[in-house]
Amino acid sequence: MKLSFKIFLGICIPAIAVILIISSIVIDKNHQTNLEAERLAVVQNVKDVERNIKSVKEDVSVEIVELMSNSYEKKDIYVAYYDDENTLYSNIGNTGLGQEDIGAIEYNKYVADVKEHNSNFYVVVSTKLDDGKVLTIIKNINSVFETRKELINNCIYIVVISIIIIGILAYIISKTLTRPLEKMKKEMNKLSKGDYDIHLKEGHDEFGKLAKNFNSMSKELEARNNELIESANNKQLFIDNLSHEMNTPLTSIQGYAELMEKANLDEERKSKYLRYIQDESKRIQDMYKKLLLLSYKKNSDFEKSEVNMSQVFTEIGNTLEDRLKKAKIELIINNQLNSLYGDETLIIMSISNLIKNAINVSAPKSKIIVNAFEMNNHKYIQVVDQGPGISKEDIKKITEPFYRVDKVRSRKNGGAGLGLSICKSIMEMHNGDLKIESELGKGSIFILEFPV
Amino acid sequence: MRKILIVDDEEKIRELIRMNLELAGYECEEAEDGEQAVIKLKEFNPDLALLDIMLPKKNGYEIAEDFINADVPVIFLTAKDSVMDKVKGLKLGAEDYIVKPFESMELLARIEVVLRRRGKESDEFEYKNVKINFSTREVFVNGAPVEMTAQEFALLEVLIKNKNLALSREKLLESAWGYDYYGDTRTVDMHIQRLRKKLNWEDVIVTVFKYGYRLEIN
Repeated sequence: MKLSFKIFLGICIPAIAVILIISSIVIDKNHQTNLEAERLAVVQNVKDVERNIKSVKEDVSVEIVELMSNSYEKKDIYVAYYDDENTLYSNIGNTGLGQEDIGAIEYNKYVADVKEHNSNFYVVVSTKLDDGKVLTIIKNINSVFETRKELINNCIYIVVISIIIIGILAYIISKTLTRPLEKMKKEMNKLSKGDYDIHLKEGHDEFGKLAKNFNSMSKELEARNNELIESANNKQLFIDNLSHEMNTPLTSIQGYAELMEKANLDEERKSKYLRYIQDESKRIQDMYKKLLLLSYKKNSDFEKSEVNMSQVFTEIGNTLEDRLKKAKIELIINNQLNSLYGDETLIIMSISNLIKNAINVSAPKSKIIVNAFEMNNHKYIQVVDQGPGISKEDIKKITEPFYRVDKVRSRKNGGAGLGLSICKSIMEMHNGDLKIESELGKGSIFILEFPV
Repeated sequence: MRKILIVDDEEKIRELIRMNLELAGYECEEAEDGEQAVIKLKEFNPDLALLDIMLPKKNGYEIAEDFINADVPVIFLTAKDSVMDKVKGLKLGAEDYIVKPFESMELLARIEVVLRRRGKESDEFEYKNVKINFSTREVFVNGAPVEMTAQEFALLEVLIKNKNLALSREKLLESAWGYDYYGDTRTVDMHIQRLRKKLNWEDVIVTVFKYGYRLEIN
């Protein structure tokens, strides 16, 4: 059942029931009052007749009764007067009621009964006089019942009109109350179809608050959904890139091996192609190792310890010495850190990755400065180069796997485009962060931030 | 000589393709990115272009249009192997789509199909004393017609299409006789002997030790 219909019934049924109950009570009360008044009136008549009987001599009492009865008859009041055996006077025969309808009679008691005979209603009052004679007065009280009937008819009329009015009102109220719900239902449908552009009117009542929650929910859902789409896209991009990066050396290896097998090549060519095959195999191996390291993060069972930083920098200096000489670049290390808590191999790898990147972008005779220091509860390692810098768009994407700022040159230097992704992963494993500051034409600063 | 433009950002791959194509008798030119490719299109005016998709500056999809508008057939030669990529490439109007890594024979065959479809493949082949017309299936030695069985002609055709490349006996059997032919590889040797004799190509069809044969053309 629809909520609006429930509200409609919830208003209509009790309202109508209340009207019916109240009107029936009122009608009944009114009827009882009228009836009581008639009873009292008849009792009063009896008393009047009794008083008159007592005030005259016994032998004229019948005449007195007859006299009074005549005056009462116009008002539909009938009188019967008997002693033990005989009826002294009676005109109650007109009512169709007999002696048997007259109830228990006692001395000086006025018992008033309501009797029905042939759809006529009567009040019957009898009393036993002191001399043992019985006086009965019957009054037709159809008018009282007619009044009740009339009232009931009027009441039905009023109830029908009230039902109509209440119905209309209830309909309007139920619709007004459920309108926000209807709107919400429509928006929910939109949402279920993937349309997150939802703006319900917010307010301070329950619906308004619900709308507010609903709006924020749809916003949240949209954000989550976009995140999912983005992550799926990233994954697809990663797979595309991986397949490209793996395929390129594979194509070379297969192609040159096939060429060496099939074509009649001179020795010089043959040894050149063999070298190509070796180079490309190494490239695949290198990439494989790096990818393993990237997924290593998920297993993250690496060992952390206090790493002596001066040893780390000496080792890095030694491994990169040849490269630096070849590129004619000076490496300046300012180390103020004694130790760093983490995995030594991974720390060395991330720092040397950054320095290698710096070497690749630096012009001959320029400097690369490495600063290691502690500040504000963090330990920092900065690698500063004087290279061409990185644009803002590139900074955003630079830590994505396989992303290269200068594709052609990076390949020639043997890079797979994984170095910075690895650095970022390593920093995540250490609960740290990789930050990049750069300005085109001025160089870049790569910062490894470790928590203390 | 038919001219082919090789567009790939990887130097070693370009060299590999160039070697294969030059051995098969094509003239080649290389471009390492999308912008250079568009310049080379005008300068070199190739008969066909082999395009990589992931290229620096302008990607393969972007430049394919330039080539197609200039009525140069395009074959995508790429590592992107998803169906969506293939469909996208072919919808752009490319003639074919080859996924890396590729085999040289397949590459040559597909290039030839495209060139023939475009009417850019010559019907005739001439070397030294021999002249072959592929559409009429006639062979002339020193100007005089020579009788060839259908099988001999098929074998000769495979050798010429893959000139300067060694073809294994199995490969020859498969290409000239068909996949479902259950012949002995000796069959190949017998037919090669006959070809050598009929064409007087004793030193042109070279035996590759323990492998197969190669048609050597300088």
